[in-house]
Amino acid sequence: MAQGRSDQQQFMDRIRDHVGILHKVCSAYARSKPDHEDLYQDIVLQLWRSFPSFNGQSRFSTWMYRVALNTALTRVRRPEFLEFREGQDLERFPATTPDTETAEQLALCHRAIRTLTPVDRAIVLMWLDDLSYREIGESLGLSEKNVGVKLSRIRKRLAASTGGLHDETV
Amino acid sequence: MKPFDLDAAKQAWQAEPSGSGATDIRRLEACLRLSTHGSRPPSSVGLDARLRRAAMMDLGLKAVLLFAWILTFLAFDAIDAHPTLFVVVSGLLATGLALQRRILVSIPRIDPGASSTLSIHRIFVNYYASHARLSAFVQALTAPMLFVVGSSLYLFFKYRVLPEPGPADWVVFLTGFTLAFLLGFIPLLFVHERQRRYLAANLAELESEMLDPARVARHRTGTRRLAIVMAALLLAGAVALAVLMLRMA
Repeated sequence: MAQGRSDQQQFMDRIRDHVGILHKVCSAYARSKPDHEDLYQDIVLQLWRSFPSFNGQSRFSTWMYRVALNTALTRVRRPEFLEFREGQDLERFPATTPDTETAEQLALCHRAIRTLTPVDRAIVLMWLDDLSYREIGESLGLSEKNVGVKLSRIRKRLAASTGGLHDETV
Repeated sequence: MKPFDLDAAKQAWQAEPSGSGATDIRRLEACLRLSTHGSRPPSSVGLDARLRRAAMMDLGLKAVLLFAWILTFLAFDAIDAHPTLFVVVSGLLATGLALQRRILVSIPRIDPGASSTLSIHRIFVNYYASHARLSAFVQALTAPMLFVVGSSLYLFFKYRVLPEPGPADWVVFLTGFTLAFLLGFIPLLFVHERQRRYLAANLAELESEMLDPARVARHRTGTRRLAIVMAALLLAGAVALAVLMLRMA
């Protein structure tokens, strides 16, 4: 019991500084507020389940991204007509950024990410959080060159989609 | 309004508060409590765990049905009176149990912290390609068996024997059996197929643009050939120029 509590404490201590990763992944993959909650729970429980296998070979944040993205990418998908949609639920980012210009950029970025395919979303999320091509490649099972090629295409797609999104907001 | 700049967005993204406020920590602790004291054990998370859980539940249900079936026939001493029915239903349940056990064993065990996204997708796509239909069929068989066993138990407990069925009874019985099977089989097949297609699309995307060694070798050979041709042309040009200059001199 005491051992279990100490494991839990250790887990909490490690995860505490990277809670943002959970929000970012959920925001990129969830389709509604209830879906966001479900995915958040799934990822936390999966992290807890996989925690004993974290061997410190990679950064904790990289490992967290790997678990969170693998969980988000492979989870059982409900048909869209079963999802309960609540307007602007997913526009929760950036809720706490005081700078309005930055907030605007981030909101646009979040919306643009959601227009990408699930795999592209995974790549761009890690790139935005400054993971190296090697780390991204290792997580996804791709070569560094392949990550570079995919990222340059994603950047073009993002630029195109944000142009569209930008026009919509004007 | 300033145009969108991805590099600026990247900086803003990293500067975004990490969300380690008191609310976030409480939320995190609540999620963890679900796994240690609540109704949401970590073993229920993840596609592999969900598949395993569904298979185990079906295995348990089939075992209970088989046990109830045999026990009822023994208790009412009805094996001699209905040997075919007893053997067919027991056989179906036993075969279902054996198949479900085989499916359960073949469900991959995945640690998403230790495997890459690509390998996880390959494993699941292979699993769905080889086992999805069989799994849907075996799982869907439980509902009609529940219908058969349930109806038989009801008749045994009410009349102490299975009454001889008339044509109308057969119609009701077969309709119930077929409906129970189809109502389980079609949605299960739909869910499996939907998941398989989604994972296969992700896998295809992950595997696309992978640098094919043969293509790289071909490209390198082509580049080398081009360099040789260019060098030869330069050399020929230099020689021609030298000859021309010599003649002019």
